Amino acid sequence: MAIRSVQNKRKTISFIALLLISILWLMPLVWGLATSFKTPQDISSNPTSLFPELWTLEHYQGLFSRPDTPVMRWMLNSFIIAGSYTVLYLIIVSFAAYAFSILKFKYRDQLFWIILSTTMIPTVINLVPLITMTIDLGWFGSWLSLIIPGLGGVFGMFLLRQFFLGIPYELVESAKIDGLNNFGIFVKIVMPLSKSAFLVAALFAFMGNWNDYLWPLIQFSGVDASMWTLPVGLSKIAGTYNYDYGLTMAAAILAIVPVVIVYALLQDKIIEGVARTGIK
Amino acid sequence: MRWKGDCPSLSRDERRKNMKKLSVLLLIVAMSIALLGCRGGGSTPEPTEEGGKISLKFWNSLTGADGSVMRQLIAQFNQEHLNDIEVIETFTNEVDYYTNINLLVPMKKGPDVMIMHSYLVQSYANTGLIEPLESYIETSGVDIKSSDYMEDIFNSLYFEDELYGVPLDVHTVGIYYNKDLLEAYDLEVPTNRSELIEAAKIVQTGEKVTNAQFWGLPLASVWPSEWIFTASLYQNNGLEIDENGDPAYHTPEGVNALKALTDLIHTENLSPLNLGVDQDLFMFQTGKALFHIQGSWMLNSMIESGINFGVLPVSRMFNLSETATKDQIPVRSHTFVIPKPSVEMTDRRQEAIMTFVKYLGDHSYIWATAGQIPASNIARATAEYQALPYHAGFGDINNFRISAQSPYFHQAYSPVYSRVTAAMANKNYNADLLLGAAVEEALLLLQEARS
Amino acid sequence: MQLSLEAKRRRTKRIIKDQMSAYAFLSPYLIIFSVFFIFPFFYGLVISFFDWNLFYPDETKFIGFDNYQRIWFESGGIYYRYFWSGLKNTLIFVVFSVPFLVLIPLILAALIDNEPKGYKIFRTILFMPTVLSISSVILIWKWQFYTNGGFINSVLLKLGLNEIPFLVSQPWAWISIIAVTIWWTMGTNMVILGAGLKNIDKTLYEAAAIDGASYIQTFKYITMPSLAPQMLIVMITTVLASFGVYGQPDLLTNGGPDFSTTVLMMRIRPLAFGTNANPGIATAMAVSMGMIMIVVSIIQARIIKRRGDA
Repeated sequence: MAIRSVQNKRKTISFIALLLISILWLMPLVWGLATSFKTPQDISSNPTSLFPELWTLEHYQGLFSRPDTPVMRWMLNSFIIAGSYTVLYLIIVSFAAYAFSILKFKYRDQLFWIILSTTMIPTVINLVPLITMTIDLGWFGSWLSLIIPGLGGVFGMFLLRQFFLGIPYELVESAKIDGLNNFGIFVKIVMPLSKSAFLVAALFAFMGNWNDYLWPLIQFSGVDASMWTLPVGLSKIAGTYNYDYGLTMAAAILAIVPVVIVYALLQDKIIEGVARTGIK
Repeated sequence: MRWKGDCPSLSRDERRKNMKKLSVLLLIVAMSIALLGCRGGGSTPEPTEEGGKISLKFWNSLTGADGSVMRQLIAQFNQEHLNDIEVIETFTNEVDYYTNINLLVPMKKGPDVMIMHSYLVQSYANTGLIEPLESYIETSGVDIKSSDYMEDIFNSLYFEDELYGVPLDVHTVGIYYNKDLLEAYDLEVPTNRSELIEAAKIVQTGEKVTNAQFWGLPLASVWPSEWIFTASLYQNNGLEIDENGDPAYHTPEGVNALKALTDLIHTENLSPLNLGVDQDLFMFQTGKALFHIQGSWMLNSMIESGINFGVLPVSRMFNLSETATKDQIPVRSHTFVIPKPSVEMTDRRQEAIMTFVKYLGDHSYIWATAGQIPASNIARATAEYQALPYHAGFGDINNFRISAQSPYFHQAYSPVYSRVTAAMANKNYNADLLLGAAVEEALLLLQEARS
Repeated sequence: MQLSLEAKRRRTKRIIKDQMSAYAFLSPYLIIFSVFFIFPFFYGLVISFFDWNLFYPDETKFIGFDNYQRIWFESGGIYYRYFWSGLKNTLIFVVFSVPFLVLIPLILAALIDNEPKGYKIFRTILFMPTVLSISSVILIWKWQFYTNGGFINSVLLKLGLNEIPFLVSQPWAWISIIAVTIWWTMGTNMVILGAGLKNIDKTLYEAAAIDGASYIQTFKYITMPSLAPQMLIVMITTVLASFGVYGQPDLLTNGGPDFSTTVLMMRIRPLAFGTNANPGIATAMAVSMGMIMIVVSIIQARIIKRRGDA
């Protein structure tokens, strides 16, 4: 049929275009990966080649063997911190998103938009007061500072609220008629239908916390190296003027591997999740 | 009419499943909090003086490979002082290091002792963020005196007649050269500018026949150009600042200084244009350059590269005419300073700090293996230091010149750096315009800082 | 329907219970948000009205709108210069990056929407850079852009062309920064738009095809209008994110050549806690930038809404 062949032609063109673009897209990453496996001499003489002349694990070994840079420990710390953060974040933020979408109370929407608009001011000015607060609370230098303050993030709350708005209200109403209270509705109706949205929020929360640099750096300024997170630790490996490219590239690859794996596994659910939030 | 609690729509199984989900949720929350509880208090305990052992917090910006040497040195110190002093070190890369200091010292979350770059000591002394040291030295009874250190460097650490720092090292830039190439072309190690340029040209012409990527003296435009310009400024009899602390480089000497540097690229054609950071380093390390101007801190990197190299000082390489200052070599120093205390500064603590400072100074020949030059005369006199093969190549210490002293040095001088880069990147630069722009910006910054 | 008194009372009770429920659900979030965001935010706002001394807190004094006056109007001063040059550079970035950051993901999402073979793999590859941290991104890309030995230039040389000084001259510096930004951040928009495309009823396409509409026509009259809600979100969030750009110009080109890529955030940060800190000015700049962003967003929303209605 005419339409079918047009569709096929479109598919072929799309395939070719996407293939070319993807190859281009991947090249910088491939280069980074290759560099992390090149010997230092190779890096100096052929900095731009995509294939190591001699494959070496010395940079990765260096990362794991130096006693003053416990990279595995840093990865573990980052996992624990980002993981705890994500779990708590999902709970707190989904509760709020639920309140802003399904529940009804006075000034509900106005409050929501006010909260949203306050996030437009750059957060750099929050830094000094936040430091003072964490000192006063006695949290300075502890992991609590890396977890609790960020739980008021807006992105996840926004995402989940949009998603909850997409849930047909009849389901909520019939649940109400069945005698469920608000908490029951949340647990039994809203949560099961929103798995993908939760996954999206979880991914961005995890990513954001994992990659956070300046705030943990300040918190860790007087703290033993074994407590640091991965980005902070890795920044201290590369000297400022004594740059070890192979080592730094290996460190960069290491830092992104967990997040990439998480993303690759959850890809489908994420797309589906975002799909329902985009609609208003 | 349905009553609450009826829930006929949910079967018993479903209710049980929901309870399970709920309990899992609560369990996760409880676990997280428990974990946080354990980890939350996991920060290093505040330095204390329990039972005779003092715990000191030491901050520095020595990261990377040379940082590892510092770590070793500290471990050694802790080992030898097992019962009385323990030093806990935190290192941060330089870009963020001063942010930490600026934010945390005023909030009493700073260290007991830290390393600071010499050109910032006056500024921090001026704002009161660091303490005068003489009382510490007296109280502690530790033998730290100016005659044990490089005199000029030590004297530069006074602000309003009080001593604010004890130097650990000085570092500088030198000209690394490829020995094999010099030999192959039957050339002597250059001792002045014309010899340098001639040697570079001969080898470059010769090598380019087989290797178009070869250059005699490639120069990256962003770094360490500020060092090279300073060397050129000194050697052409120029000044960074005048007695009032105002910029003093927009002068014929300053123009010459700029010219001496940029001529190597634009007129003598010894370097390609627009070289990125470390590209010149890589060229040298792969035998594609004869000379490379680089810091003493990169010494080990050069050794690792396998190139048969030597080091010669920058003296006499930038003066465009005979000057009295043609031998001068710019240096900077990593200096020990004591920030405004975050904990009670008892006599014992002062003694511990100064003991640590003296120890590191005396043993800085170990630190020298990272490419630094010890400021301590005692350390430099040791056999270990004398045995180091390359350090003498960075020049006669009598020619070392540290940056001019002013609490607003950074404001007055640093605006010139980006203009140096611009001049190196553009053949038709206007020195007057560039230096003028730097001075203008510097004056505005100074005005702001002084108010 | 007339409710009995009983029923009315029960309903009021339910409404009150709803309100209490709402507060119960909302309070953890609101507490944390107020304590750790609103409070520092107002604190910062307050700082902007002071001559705030980071090192000598006792010397801090109230100066009203002075900081704002200096950055907005005092044309001889250094802060005026920093503010307006920073703002100009930020605006240049916003104006030139946002169209690409919206169009490119749109095109890619459309291609993927045709579901050719392996489209899931393509989608992963194209999204992957978005999970990287800024330092990894810069590390990788700096080497691509170097003159004398960078990857792109070595390819150009092999093709017999001249080298391009990507990081040290205009307009290449901006082009490099924007290219890296696209590579790094367009993934989120691609996913959002892709999801929007997925939700469009395919029968609309079939109907258009039967009517003989070309691809372009279908796209213009069916796809785009259906995509309006997603486009709104994408455009507003992208503009807002572009205003806050910091890492790319700072690390890729160091704000050069000649400060031409020094954006406003690069001026604000050192003023907030650098060696020459002036937190009052820094926060005044940040607040000013925020105001501008709010205005821009409102204008944007109005324009798009009006287009959507048309």
